[in-house]
Amino acid sequence: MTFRMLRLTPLACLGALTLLLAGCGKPPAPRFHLNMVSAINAKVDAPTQQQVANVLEALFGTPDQPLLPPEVPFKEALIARAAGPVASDIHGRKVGLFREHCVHCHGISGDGMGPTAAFLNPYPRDYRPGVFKFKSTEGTSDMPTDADLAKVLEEGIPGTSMPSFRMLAVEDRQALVEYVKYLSLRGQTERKIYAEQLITVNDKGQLETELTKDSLGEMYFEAAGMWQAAQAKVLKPASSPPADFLTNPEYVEKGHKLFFGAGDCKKCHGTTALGDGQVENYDFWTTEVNKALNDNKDSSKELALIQEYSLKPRHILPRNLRSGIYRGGRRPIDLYYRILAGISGSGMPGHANQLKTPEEQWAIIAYVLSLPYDAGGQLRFDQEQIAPSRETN
Amino acid sequence: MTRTLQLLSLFTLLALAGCSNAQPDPAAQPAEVEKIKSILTAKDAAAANTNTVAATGWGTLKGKITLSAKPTPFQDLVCNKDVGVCCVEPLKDNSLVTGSGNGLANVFVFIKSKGKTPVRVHEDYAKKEGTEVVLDNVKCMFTPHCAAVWTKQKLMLKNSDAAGHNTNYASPSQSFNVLLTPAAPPIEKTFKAGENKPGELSCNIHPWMKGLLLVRDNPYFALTNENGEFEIPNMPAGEKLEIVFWHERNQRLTKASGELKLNNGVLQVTLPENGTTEVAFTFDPAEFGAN
Repeated sequence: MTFRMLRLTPLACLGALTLLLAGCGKPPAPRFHLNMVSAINAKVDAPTQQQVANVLEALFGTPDQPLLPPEVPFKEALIARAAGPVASDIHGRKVGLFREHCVHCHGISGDGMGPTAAFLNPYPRDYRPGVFKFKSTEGTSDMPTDADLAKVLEEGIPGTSMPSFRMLAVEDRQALVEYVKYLSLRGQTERKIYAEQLITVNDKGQLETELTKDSLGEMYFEAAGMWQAAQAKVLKPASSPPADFLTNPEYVEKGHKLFFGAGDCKKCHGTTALGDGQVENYDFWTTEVNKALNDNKDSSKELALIQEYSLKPRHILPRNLRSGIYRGGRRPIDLYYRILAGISGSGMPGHANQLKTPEEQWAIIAYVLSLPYDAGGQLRFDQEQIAPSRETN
Repeated sequence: MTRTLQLLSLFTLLALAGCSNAQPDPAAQPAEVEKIKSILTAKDAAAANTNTVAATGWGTLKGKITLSAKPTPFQDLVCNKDVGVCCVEPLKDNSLVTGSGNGLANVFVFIKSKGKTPVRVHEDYAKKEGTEVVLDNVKCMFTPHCAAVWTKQKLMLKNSDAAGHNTNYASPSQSFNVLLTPAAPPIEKTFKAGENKPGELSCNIHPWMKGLLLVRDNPYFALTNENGEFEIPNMPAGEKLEIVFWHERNQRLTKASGELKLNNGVLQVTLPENGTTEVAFTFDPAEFGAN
C-alpha cells in the first residue's frame, strides 16, 4: 500500500460514512408496489407500468391515505382504522392495525411477501388476485363473505403460521377484514388492467387510453360487484345431518365407499389418505410465478425482477387426512364447504356433481372425520385398491 | 490505485444502496395522480358521442396466420400418473401446433369489447344459441386443446378416459374446478359474462394437462385450424372493429412481418358491407419460444 493510499483511505471512509448517515434522511413513506409477476406475464412495458401505478394511486390512494374509488360500498372508516402507521386515536383506540399485526407476513401491498414470508411454510396469502381458500361461497371465483374472513382472523389457520387474533376487539378484526378486502380489490383491479390491457401508452410513453369515469370504472366494477355478491352465494346444505352421523357406522362405511369411488379422493389424498397421491402440483399463485420464471428464463434482467417480486416456488400438497388438522376449520360444515365447493386456488375440485344427496355428502364428511382416529392395523382403506394403484401411479 | 478505486466504488455502492428504494417498480407520479383524481370527482359531463353507430351491413373476415419457418418440436411431456391410461403413447406438447405451409393453429381471433356497448349480432347466429361446445379429456389431454364458447352456448365437460380428471378453469370472475370421474355423465357449464382473454385450463391430477378456454359475450370469435386459417362470417360492417389475435405461447401477437400491423395484438379494421376482408400475418417462431 502506498503512502498516498494510506492518506486516502480514512478520507474515503469518512466520506462514505457521511453519505450513509446524511444521505438517507427520513425514510420514504411506504407505498404500494405493482404486481410485477402479473405485469411481466402480461408483457406490460415500463411506461405502461408507470401509468398503471398512477391510475391505481388515484383510485386507491396510498398505504398511509387509502382511498375507495367511487361506488365501492366498503366501509371507509374501518379501512382508515386498519391503515396507516401504528398509533392511538383520541379515544385510545389503536389505528394502523394492519401494520401492527399483518404486514410482516402479508406485506404492505397484501402480496404475501412481508419480511417474514420467505421463512414460512406455507407462504402467507397473497390477497391481490382475490382468491381465498377458506370460504363458504359456492363458486371457486366467488369472494369470501365478511364472516369467512372474520373466522380466519378469529380462529387462525391450524397447521400454518397464521395465528388467531381473538385478542383483538371484534371491531378491530372487522377493520382488518375490510382492509384485506380493500387490498384485494386493489390487486384485482391491477390484474384486470394487465389482463385486458385497459391502459395503453403510445411510443412516447403518454397515455393512449382516454381516462373517463366509465373507463376507470370498468377496471374495478366487476371485482367490487363480486365482493358485494358474496353473501348471496353462500352454500347451504339441503338438510342437516342426523345428530349421531359422525359415530354412525353406516355413514362412515358409506363415506368410505365414496372416498374410493365417486369422490375419487385417493387420486390426490392417496390410498392411505396421507396426502401423498399428488405431490407435483403447484397452486394458483405459484403457477403464475412458474410461468413468469419459465417464459423469461433467458433474460437475466427479467428473471432478477421476478425473483425479487416472488417467493421461491413450492409444491402444494394435498391434505394429510389422518393428521386431524383442518386448516379451514374442523366443524362438519367447514368440511362441507371444502368438499362441495372445492378449495379455490389449491387444485381441490368441487364435488357437487359426484355427491348429490345430503346423505352422501354427510357420509363422506363422517368418513374423513373418522380417519385420524383409525386405530393402527385397522386402517379403513380398501386393501384391494392399493396394489393396482401403486402399479399405475 | 486499483484498491482505492475498489474501496471508493464499494462505498458509493453502499451509500446508494442505503438510500435508494431498491424496488424497480415505478412509484406513482403525484401530478398525474391528481389529474386522474379530478376525472373521478368531476361532475358528470353531458354524455358525448353515444349512438354514433348507424351501420347496418355485414362483412366477413378471413385470414391465415403462419410462421416463417417450421419450429423444432418441443420435448414430449413427462407422463407419470395413471400410467396405464395416460402414458400408452408419448404425450406431445401441443402448445405450438403448425400444419401445412407452417400455418399456426390455435390462435384465438375475437372482437375486443369496448365498455358495455354490445356488438351487433347477425340473425344467422341465432342457430348457434343453445348449442354445445364439448371439452373432452382424451388420453389425459384436453381435447380440443383450445376451446371458445359464446355465453349463449353450453360448455359440456366430458371424460372419455378410464382415469379420473378434474377441469380447473382459471378466470378472475367465472373460474370453476370440477371433478370428472370415469364414465360419469358430462357436466354442463354456462357463463354469464364474456371475458377479454382466454383463461387457462388445467387438471390437478395430471399436472401436464393444460388447455385454454375463451368465453365471449358475442359469437364473433374463431380459432385458427391446422393450416392457420380462420373465417368469421357476418361481422358488423361499416364500423371500426378491433380484432384481437391471441396465442397461448405469446399471448397478444404483435411482431408480424408484412404490411398489416398488430398493435398489442389488436388489428383495427372496418369491414366493407357484403365483402370479404382477408388478412395474413407471419411470425418468427422465436416469438413463441421455439427455434
